[in-house]
Amino acid sequence: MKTIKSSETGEINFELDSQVGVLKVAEQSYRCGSDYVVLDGRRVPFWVYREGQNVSVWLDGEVYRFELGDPRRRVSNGASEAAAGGTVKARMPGKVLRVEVKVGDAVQAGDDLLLMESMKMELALTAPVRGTVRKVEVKPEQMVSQGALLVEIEEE
Amino acid sequence: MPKFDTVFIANRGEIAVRVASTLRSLGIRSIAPYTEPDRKAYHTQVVDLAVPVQSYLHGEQLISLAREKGAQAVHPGYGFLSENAEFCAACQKAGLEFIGPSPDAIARMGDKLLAKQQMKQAGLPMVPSWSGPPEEAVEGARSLGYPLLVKAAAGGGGKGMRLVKEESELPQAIERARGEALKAFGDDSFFLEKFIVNPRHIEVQIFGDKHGNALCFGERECSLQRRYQKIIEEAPSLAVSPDLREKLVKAGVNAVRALNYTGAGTVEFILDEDEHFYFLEVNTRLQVEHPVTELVYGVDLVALQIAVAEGAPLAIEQSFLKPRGWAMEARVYAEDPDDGFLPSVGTLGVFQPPAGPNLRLDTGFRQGDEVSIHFDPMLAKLISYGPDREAARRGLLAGLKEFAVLGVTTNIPYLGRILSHPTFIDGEFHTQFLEASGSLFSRTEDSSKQALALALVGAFGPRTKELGSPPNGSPPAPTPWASLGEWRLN
Repeated sequence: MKTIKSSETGEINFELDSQVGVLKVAEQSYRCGSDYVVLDGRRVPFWVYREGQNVSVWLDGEVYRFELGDPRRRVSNGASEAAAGGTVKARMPGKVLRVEVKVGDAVQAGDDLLLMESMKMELALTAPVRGTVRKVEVKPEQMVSQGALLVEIEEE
Repeated sequence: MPKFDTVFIANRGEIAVRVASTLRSLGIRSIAPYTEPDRKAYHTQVVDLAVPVQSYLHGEQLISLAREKGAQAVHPGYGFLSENAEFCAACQKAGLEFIGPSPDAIARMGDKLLAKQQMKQAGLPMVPSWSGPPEEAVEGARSLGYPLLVKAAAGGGGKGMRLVKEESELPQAIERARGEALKAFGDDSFFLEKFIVNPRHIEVQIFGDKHGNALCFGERECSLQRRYQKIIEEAPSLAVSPDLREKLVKAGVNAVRALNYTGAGTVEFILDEDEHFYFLEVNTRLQVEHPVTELVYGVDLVALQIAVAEGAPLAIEQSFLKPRGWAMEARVYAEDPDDGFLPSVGTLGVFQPPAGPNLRLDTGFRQGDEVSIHFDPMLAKLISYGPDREAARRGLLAGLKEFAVLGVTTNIPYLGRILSHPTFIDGEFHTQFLEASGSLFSRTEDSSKQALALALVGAFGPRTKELGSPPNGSPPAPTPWASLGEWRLN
């Protein structure tokens, strides 16, 4: 994108690579909005939806996600999910079925740590790094929420 | 035979909505159950009466409610109790017509080993397999050769199934498959089966009535799967010639006769690269992908199920059944293909399905609904019809591209990438295609679109300082571009 300007009336002029267009902000709501932009003479509809800190945009069949945060940490899709060292967190809410390790166990990267169930599917969680298990925060049958710390491994 | 006045749908979600739609068109009252998380679910709104239940698996409660509310018949849909012989028998005992086959047929086809024996006797071709005590599995596996599959005897839908490429993987695969089977079906018996390389998954729609008539609709192509879960289905199949179709249909008719089958069912086959087909299993219910058959044969399979259950003879001549045009279905799942297909939960803040003259949408969701961890992550089935395969493919692709969903991550863009792939366009795929070429379908970033999306956030998103304001506050003004830097591309 080369330039993008907005006017006080809510009209936005932009130039994307070689494409020039005008976006008219006709409808707005706090949580969700919809309109279209014109690219190369073709109408492209879009939807914007906000949930807490997250805003997602559906544009021409693809979804783009944005999160309110530090502008210096503008990273591309997925990278922000990278596990910090040997910290294993629940990537979605669910139930712990089995715990395969205990504190003090030596693990190789890829070893099974625990088995979870969510949406009728079993998910095996494996060690992201080689090291020693320092913390096991869950027990079988326990329900966990998304982002909950499950296992911590001290990386070798 | 009396016509039904009221039918109890023992199911939820898109299939309950689908069945209710046909019932409405037939002038039959519909009743459906709901559990607490489904209190406001779409299916409760489209039936004439919704009744609370503890669980969709609580057969006793479902039957007593069906009776109490005046139903004469129970439609089981798919999943839940649809292939439960005891439930079927209990319905009959309570004086309710079960819209499906007999408890005997369900029980015999539900046991995958018994089903193979029966279908072998009926003359259907079989893939070599082994069953026996777990401690002899290693020898059994050697007699078949690798690769092979470990399968739960009571399995279905990919549950309790494992692919084993070499002997060292066998013990763990058996343990996992049995664990999953015990949990899903309450039965951990298993068998081993020779793995056909580059197979296609082909199935035929069977029907039987109470007068001994058998009918079989031509094939559905269901080879596009991931972890044995079908994703895109079509009818007919490019791999099936008229000659082969005739053989498949004949096998289907034989299955109906051997089982004295009533109602709708599906015989699944795998097809190898030399046009040999092998019996896989019989599903004694309506399939998720039944719409593609409905479109190319111009038939309402649910209406046909009801007619058969009411005692009407199948009034269709087998030789008249010819597929017309092409139908293609894509299953929209709440999952993230760019993050290991992790299921996604949340609120469907935006849920805007496409519409068009040759598009059909089967869904149990509306905008604003919650996608919870309690149920299957399938959000919708989008089905297109066209005069030929390419027209159906383009129609489906265009439909997917218009299908806006936000708040929950979906596989829609992934489905679009599969439909655009040359291998799919040529039709030269098999059941391993998606997993063997997984990275081909991962997202490629379009930086100008990304930037435009970011601009739209600026225009529509709230100002950062307004983030804490209540939802009923005044709508935010267009954001000054200076604040764009506050948004992080995730």
